[in-house]
Amino acid sequence: MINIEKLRFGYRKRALLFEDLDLHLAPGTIYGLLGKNGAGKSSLLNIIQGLLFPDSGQVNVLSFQPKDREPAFLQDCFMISESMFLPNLTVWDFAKTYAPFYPNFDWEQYGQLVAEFDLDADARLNRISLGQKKKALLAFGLATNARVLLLDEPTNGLDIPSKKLFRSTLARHIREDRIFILSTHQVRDLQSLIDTLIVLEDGRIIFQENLVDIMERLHFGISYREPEDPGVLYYERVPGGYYTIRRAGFEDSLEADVEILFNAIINAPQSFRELFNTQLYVR
Amino acid sequence: MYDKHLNFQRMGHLLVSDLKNTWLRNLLLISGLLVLGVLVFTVLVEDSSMTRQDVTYLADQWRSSAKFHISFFPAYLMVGGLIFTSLVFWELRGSASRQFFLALPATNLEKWMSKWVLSALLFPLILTVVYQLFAQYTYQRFLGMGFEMVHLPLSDPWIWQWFFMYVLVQSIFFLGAVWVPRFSLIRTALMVAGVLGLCILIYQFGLYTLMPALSEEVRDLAATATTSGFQLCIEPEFQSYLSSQYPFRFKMIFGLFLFPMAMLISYLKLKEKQL
Repeated sequence: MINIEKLRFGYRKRALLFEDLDLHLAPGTIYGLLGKNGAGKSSLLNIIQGLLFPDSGQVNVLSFQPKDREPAFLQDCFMISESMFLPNLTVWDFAKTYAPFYPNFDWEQYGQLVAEFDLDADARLNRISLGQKKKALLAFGLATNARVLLLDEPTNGLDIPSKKLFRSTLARHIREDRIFILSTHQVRDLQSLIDTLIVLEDGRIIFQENLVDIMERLHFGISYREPEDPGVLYYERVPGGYYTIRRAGFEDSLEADVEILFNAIINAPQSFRELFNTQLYVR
Repeated sequence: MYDKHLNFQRMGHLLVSDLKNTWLRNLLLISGLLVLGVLVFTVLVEDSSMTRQDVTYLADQWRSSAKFHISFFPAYLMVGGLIFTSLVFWELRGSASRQFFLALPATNLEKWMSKWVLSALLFPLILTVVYQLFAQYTYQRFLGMGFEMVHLPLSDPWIWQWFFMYVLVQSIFFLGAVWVPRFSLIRTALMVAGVLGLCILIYQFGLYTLMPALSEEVRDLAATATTSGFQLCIEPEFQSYLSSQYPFRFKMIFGLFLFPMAMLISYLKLKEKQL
C-alpha cells in the first residue's frame, strides 16, 4: 500500500535528511512513527502526501506517485498536520465547502463524529481552541473515508478526555483497507493504539516491528535495584526503581512502555539488532 | 484521461471555496476602489476652489469625450485587478495554508485555472460592472451641475480594449503571484520595471548606437541626430516615434510571446510547488 525505496531527500543538497530510506507499510494497521526532533517525521509524512518531492528513489502510495498530486490519490490520502490551517468558516460550512472534493465523504458519519466530539457545528473554525480544531479536522478526515490517514502530533492540544475519545474513535475506524500513520512525541498517549512501531533516526528507518512481536521477544519489568544482570538489554530509572527490558523468557511482563522502548532503540541499538533481525542502524 | 487533468465540476468547487474564503477581502477591495474613485472625482471636478467657468470648460471636454472615465477606468481596472491578482494565491503564503491548498483533491491544472479565471476574468468583470455604479454617480453629479455627461456603457469598445490589455498585463503579475506569493505586487512590479528598463537600455543605447541603420523607421531620424544614442533618444521626433510605436509593439510582445510564456511558467511553477 505504501512502498518507499531508496528515498533520498534533503532541504539542502549537501545535507540529506533521508538517505536510502526504505519503508513498506501494509493496510489494516495503525503505525506509530517515532523519532527525535528533526529526525524527519513530518517531512516523511509530507513526502507520502506529495507535498514534498524526493530527490531520488521510489515513493509509491496506493499505486500513485504522490508528487503527481492526482485528485484520485489526494481523495484517498488525508493528512492532519501539526500546524493546521482552517479557514474562517463554521464547522458545518467547512464540510459543505470541502466535502465535494471527496467523493466518498460520508455525511452521516461526519454528523456522528461532530456530535461525539461535542463540536458546535455553528462555531467558526478560526475561533475555536486548538483541541477543537483538531477534532473538527479529524471528524472531517475520517468522514472522507480516505484509505491513508496521516496524523502529525495528533494529541497535541487535546485534553485528557479528548485523548481517550481520540484513541477510541481512531481504533473504531481502522479497516482492512486503511492505514493510519501517527507521528508523535507523546507516545504514551497513543501506545495502546499503535500496532506497529517505526523508529526514524539519522535519515533511516532503524526499527519497524509489530507490538505483538515485540511483546513475544522482550520482557518489560521493574527492578528495585540497579540491574547488573547481563541479560538486561536496557534499563532506565523511573519513579520507584528501574524499568528494565530483557529478552523474553521471564514471566509476568509488564505492558510495553513504548517511550522507554524508543529510548532503548535510540541509545542501545546493538542490543536489539540481532534479536529482531532488523537492519538496525548502529552508529 | 480528460477528467484526470481538467474537471470543470472540481474547478467550480475550487472557485466556490475561494470565494467563500475571500469574500470580505474582495468586498473591501472593490469598496476601497469605489471610494477612491469618488475622492478623485470630487477633488478633480467638484473642488470648491473651481470656478463655474472651469467646470463648464471641463464638463464640456468630458461631455464630448467622457475624458474622466477614459483616464480613470484603465487605472481603476489595472490597479484593482493587479492588487487582486497579487493576492489570489493567498494560500501559498503560509506553510499551513499552502499544505491545505496543495493537498486539496484537484489537479494542478484545475487549481491554476480556477485562480486565473478568478483573477483575470471574474474579478475584473465584477470591477467593470461595479464601475458602472460609479459612472452613474458621476453622471448624476454632472446633471446636478447642469450638464449631461456621456456615459461609458459596458458595450463601449474602450472598456473591452482595456479589459484585453488587463488580461495581457495580468499574466505577468499572475506569474509573480505564484512565484513569489509574499509581497507579490511590489516584487513583481520591481521585477517588471527592472526587465523593462534593461530591455529599453539594450534597445535604445545598444542597438541604435551600434547599428543605427537597423530600423527603417529610425534611420532618417538617426541621420538628422547627432551620433550619440542618448541624444537620439531625446530628440522630440524620436520620442513621438517611440510613443506611436511602443503601444503597438507592447501589445505584440505581450500577445505573441510574453502572455503564453507567463501562463506556461506560472502553471509549471504551481506544479512544482512544495511545502
